[in-house]
Amino acid sequence: MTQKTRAAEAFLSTFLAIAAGLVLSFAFLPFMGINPLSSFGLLFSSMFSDRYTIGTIFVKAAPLILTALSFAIAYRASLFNIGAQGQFYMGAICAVAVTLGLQNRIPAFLVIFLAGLAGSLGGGAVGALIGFLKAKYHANEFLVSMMSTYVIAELMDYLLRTFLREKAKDYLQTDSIDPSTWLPVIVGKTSVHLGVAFAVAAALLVWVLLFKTQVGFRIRAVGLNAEAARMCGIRPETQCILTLFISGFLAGFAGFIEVNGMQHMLITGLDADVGSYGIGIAILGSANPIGILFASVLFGALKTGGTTLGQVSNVPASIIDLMEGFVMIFVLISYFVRHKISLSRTKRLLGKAVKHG
Amino acid sequence: MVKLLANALFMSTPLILGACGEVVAERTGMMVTAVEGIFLFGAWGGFVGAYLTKSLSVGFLAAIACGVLVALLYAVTTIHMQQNQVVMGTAVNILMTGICEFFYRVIFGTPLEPLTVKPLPVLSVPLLSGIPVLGTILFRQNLITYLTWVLVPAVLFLLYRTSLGLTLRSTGENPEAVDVAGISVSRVRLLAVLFAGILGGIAGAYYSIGDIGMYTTSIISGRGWICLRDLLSRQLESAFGAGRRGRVRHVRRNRGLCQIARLRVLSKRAVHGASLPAYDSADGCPEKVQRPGKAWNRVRQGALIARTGNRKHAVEWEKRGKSNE
Repeated sequence: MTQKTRAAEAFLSTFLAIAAGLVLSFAFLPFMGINPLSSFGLLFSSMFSDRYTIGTIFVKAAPLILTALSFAIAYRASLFNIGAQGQFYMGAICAVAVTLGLQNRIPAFLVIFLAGLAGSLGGGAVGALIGFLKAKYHANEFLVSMMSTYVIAELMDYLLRTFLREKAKDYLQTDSIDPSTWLPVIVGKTSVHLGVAFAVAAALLVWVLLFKTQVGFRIRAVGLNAEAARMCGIRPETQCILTLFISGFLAGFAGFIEVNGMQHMLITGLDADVGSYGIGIAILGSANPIGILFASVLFGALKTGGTTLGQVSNVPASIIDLMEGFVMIFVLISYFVRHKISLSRTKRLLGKAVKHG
Repeated sequence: MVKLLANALFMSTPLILGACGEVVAERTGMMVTAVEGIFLFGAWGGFVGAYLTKSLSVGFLAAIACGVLVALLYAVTTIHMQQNQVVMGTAVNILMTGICEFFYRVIFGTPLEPLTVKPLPVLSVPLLSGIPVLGTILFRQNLITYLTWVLVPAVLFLLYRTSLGLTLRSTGENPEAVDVAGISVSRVRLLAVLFAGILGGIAGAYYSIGDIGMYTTSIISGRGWICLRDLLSRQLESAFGAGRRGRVRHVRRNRGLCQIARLRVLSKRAVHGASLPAYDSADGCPEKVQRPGKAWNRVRQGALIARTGNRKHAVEWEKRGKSNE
């Protein structure tokens, strides 16, 4: 079996799974007395209605790409970092603090650079801490990362009530940052900002890192078999800290691009679901950075289309969660089906070989 | 203070329920990461059942059915289709958020005022509730809270004193042996997850119809995870060789206290006109984390020696344990 047909099969089965997920979630609509077919059409037409909406798809996809990469790189080392949400918040806190502190004092591009660095390092520090606890004390990284999210969310709320609170003191948010420190819009008449390009570049970089460098090889080696890696002189503990640092770094960077690129301030409960969607997208793209790019755009499109659908018709906004949940589950099921098919094929080939001696 | 303790018991009930189910599932080698979804659907199903029939018992039955349904979905995909538990759990949780919100709207539309049912009544135990302090704390609770007090020793008994419990634990520790003994590993796991679904459903309904008497989309928001965490923090304790339910229960009671304290702060804030934060989980509260220091290591090693009967074995065992993690 050639690699090409295998790739084609993977593509086809994923496509079918996505289609099945979408169809099933729209099959719920008649319960509310809504025609599913016309809503389905409306979903797509609203997705591509104008230039701005198409841009929004990519703007929404950008943080998802990064959080999905964050999960995927840890997944490759068979670590579960499900705390991308917390690392995202940490990145956002650091980025907004640096921007608010330095804006109008030093050149704007330097502010953006430093904010990006601070955000990524902030997220990375959280990741590295989780990795350290795992490596040194065998703490369960799944659990620590999950709970770190809540700690950081509370920390963010605390900071938003105290040091970072806006001058007007009305809402739980910071002052909006100076327009000079916004990430510049790169495509006219849309909101597509530089962060989108950064996110795509990050996906490509992670691909190179994972598959073309020594560091990536070590990470994958530890993921495949930590004991074997140890025998080869790779310390799984070190790799664990490093992997989770990179993982947190990516999530923190997502926080930075959301603050400086999209929101221009930090508000409480900012993008409260990028973390969990990141996990779904990483799986949809089978933890491959290139697959993640496409899966993120799909989820960004579903989010954008679903939101617009909720505004122009009486389809509830919860259809987004329905679609995304069903798509994820069907994709997982499609992995199982594919595995079964390839297994039976191998069996048949073996049987043939035995028969012919 | 008395009120606080009584409330702590009241609030820790669903956590104990959820964790009891989790502990059984975890002993068979399953990590029910769909617990958020189970709680949420249980809360939803409980409210719908109770609101439509005006009967809390129907509500709890509906919650059980809902919890089992989610657990079944999770179990079939993870056990029979062998998909990753963490990933599947996330998918189920997202799906359940959507389904609950969607069907709440299908059934009730968008009501202007929140729909309510009467929450679980307090059942005072005659005579015993008259005891000055203890009576108020222990014997003025609702039915479900009393039931959990029976449930905890029952689960303990089930796991450690019955042959079924032995099967359950063996399935987690050595599935091959169970398979060789002629017991279907996947069936044991399926049943254990369904059990977690039953208890998780009740726990979810406890939040909606047991406590506040209404359903909101953010009713669970992370509380299911607390159960899972309690359980896994127990893994640390099992290094003592004696980390059993009693200790966990103690920890959980503290958690309930923290939650009450937090809710109080929140309500105060609300009174003073400040807006509530988006996260109302109880996880920001400080808790005692077991720090693995020198003494800890000694104790741990001591326990291992006690377990394996031999220092050399203990060292070896620990090494193996480490590499397995």
